[in-house]
Amino acid sequence: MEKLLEIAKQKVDSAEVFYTSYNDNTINFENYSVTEIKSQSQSGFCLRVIKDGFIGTSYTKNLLDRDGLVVNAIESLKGKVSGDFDFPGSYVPKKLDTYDPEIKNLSCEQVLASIKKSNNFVKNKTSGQLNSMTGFGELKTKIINSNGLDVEFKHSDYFASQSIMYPGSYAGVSTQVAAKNHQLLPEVEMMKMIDLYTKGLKEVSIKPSTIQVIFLPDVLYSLLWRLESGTNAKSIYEKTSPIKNKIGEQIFSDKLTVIDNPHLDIYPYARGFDDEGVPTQKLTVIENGVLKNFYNDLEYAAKLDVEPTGHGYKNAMWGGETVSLAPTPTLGHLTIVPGKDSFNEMIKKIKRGILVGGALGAHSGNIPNGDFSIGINPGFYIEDGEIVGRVKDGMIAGNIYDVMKRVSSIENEVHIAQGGIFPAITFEDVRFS
Amino acid sequence: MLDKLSGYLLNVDAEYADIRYEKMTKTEIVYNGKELSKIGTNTTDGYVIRVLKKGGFATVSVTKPSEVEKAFELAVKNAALLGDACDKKMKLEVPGKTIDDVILDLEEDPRAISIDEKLELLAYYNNLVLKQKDVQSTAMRYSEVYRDKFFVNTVGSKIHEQTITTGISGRIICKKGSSVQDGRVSIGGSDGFTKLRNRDDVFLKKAKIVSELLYAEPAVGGKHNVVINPSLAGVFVHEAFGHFSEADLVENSPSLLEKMQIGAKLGTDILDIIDDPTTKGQIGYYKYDDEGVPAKPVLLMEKGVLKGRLHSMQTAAAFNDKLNGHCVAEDARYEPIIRMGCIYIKPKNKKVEELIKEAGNGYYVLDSKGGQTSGENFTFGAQYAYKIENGKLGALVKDINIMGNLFSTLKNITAISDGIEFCESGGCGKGQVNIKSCHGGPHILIKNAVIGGV
Repeated sequence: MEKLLEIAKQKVDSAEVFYTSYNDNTINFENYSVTEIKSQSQSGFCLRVIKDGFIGTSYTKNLLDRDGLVVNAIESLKGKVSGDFDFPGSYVPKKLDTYDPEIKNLSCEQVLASIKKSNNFVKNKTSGQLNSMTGFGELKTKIINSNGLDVEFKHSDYFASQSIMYPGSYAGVSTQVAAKNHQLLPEVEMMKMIDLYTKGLKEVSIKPSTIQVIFLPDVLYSLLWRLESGTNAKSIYEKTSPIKNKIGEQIFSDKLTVIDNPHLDIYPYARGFDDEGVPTQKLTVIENGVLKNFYNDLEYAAKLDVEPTGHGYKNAMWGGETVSLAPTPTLGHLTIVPGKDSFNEMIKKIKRGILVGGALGAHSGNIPNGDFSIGINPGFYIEDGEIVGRVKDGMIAGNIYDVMKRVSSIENEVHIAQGGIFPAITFEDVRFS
Repeated sequence: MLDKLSGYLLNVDAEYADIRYEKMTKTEIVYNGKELSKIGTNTTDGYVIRVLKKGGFATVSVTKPSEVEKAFELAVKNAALLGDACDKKMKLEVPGKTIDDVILDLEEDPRAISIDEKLELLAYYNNLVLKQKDVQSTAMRYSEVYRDKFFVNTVGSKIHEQTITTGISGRIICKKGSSVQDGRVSIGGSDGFTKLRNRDDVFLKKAKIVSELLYAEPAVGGKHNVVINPSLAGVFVHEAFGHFSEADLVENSPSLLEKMQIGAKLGTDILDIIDDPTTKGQIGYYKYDDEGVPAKPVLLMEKGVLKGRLHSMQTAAAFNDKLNGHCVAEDARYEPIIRMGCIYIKPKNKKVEELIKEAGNGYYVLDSKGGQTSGENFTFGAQYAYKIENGKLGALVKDINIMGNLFSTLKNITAISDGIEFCESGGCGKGQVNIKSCHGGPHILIKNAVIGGV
């Protein structure tokens, strides 16, 4: 890395080298039987150079030719991609607890045994098909640049999930755990999963209407995806955000507070700096329904002439090789502040409504405008405070800048979910068809 | 390279093993609105190792050549562990020994065209769109993915195949007041650069529609008769049916498998569905899959009756079926999994106008905005639609998402048009992203589809 930086900085105004490597293992079970064990050991380098206000990039996985990588980055300067910013200088990033060295001693045999234990717990209590996915490993990232920055982190992670599937379907009820080392799925969470699955065995049909809807934590990403689009500095710069001029305005229910907190290191993947080496911060996006902040990376902070917020991550909507991706503004550590009701109290409060357990097609629809139209997969019908069955086919639709004004209840605890750490939330008057 | 890879296999203690080395050279040019945000050509590479031992089949992928031997040791260990732990010992239907070198057959080799010319073409289309009414911004991408794949196995096969996928795709974002609408556009293929030239009409048509959507009424949610165009018919057949013809998705799901028995009558008599990666020119073209199995066309449904499945070596053995070469990996980070190559509904004789007339009242729905499936349920988004009133096309409408149930929807396809079109960009996200996933079809009429509206 250092040699690469040394070669590059002779030829440009400033340069940055990003290195990442990871080792992970995945063990999959289908219908209680192990079907797959796979392992990956991947690494790669990305070089960014800035000269005369333009930025050039090159990347590779096997670093066989340092000079060639530098030449390639300089070649790409010819395209005149604006790079009117500078890389951060030297500092000491916030110290976070992100790595449990015991992960190195964790074997596939041990993990296989714990999956079997959890699966057997479920098997004795339900007839549904159980699939499970478990992954564990470690990730290292190091960034150095010509301004003296030299930062690195190590993550360890262990992720386990179980889903009981409804017959003829991949719609199911799930539970999951994410930690920095091996952890069993808690029995109490597995019991909740079995209970909800059982209540959904009966199929019910309901007519199109406007209805109360509880989003389980794992489905909230489908709404927050729209908010992430609206608060992204790229959307602000391109004037495609419907909330561009609404900082300080009440845009959602006052019950709702949404925070991006990369420093929450009780969970895995906490970050002290982003993929550009910029220090991360706890950023309040929505406070009691009021829009507080947009988020950016170095490029869009410069374009909007604001301070970088440390949200430049190398990712894309559909994943991709980390080193090949340019940093883009990303809310990678979203949390929603819990409310007052227990989950059971939330159900009890519903006169007539749907509990959404999974979303199909969250990526479809007019995301910049905040529109959503998702298949409920599965959805549970609630009447007079009781779950009475599962709604097989149906969609819920709306616009987040309308629906998220009508929050009537937020769960009093948070869960690790797709897209962040969230409680369940009840919205009033959502269209079901 | 093939001989070097063969050398790794000499001392592997396993019943079967293979190794794939893949070198991928990617050229990307990206515009966000007026500004160029990315340009360059870069190469990545890596190795994927698979081993069958004691009834377990395990995979390991590594970046560095120095890690390959250790990767084989780990794969052998994990395969044996898997074999001990699984209920049903895994077997493989291993293809016969094949030695082949498949080089590119292109109309105009994109690699021979300078990056400056590629930039010029992308800038031309981008500027063309930006000049249109109400266009606020764009996200336009030129993407060229050249793969050089080397595959060897313990049967003695040695296969080298090159593929190249070239395309321009993007989003057009229009804005009026606080209302924002977006549309997607894509051109491209696997047969060369020529397909990208002289396509102004595609960009102009979509920019006009996205602008008009700002003034359109939303669709009304509920059950409607819908005529869907080839772009959507392709997404429909991919999402609603195609994934369940992938044998790995039904193999270990007894309740789905029970419904998806070969010979089961699932659709109407007019419904024939085929997957054929060997059709040249379409974006999904390849000769060998990533297991070194020759790709073959597969008749999946005939007259509404389930006739075939897409297989890997493992599922072909499990179902006692023939190999058909449908096991493909995203890149050198991944093991191959079962994918559709180019799935389509076979066209029939009716004209589109007849389908619209037969729909009576409903919507004529066009162009895909992504889809998703989960067992028997699927959704797909559409970019725009027109009302159908008394068998005639009416006003433009926006915000269309369709949801359905596989088994009931296939029985609700009551008319199929003539003609066929294939998509020009792919992007299926079943665990890994497959940019070569092609689909297409004619126009089809679906009765009583659930529309979400907004």
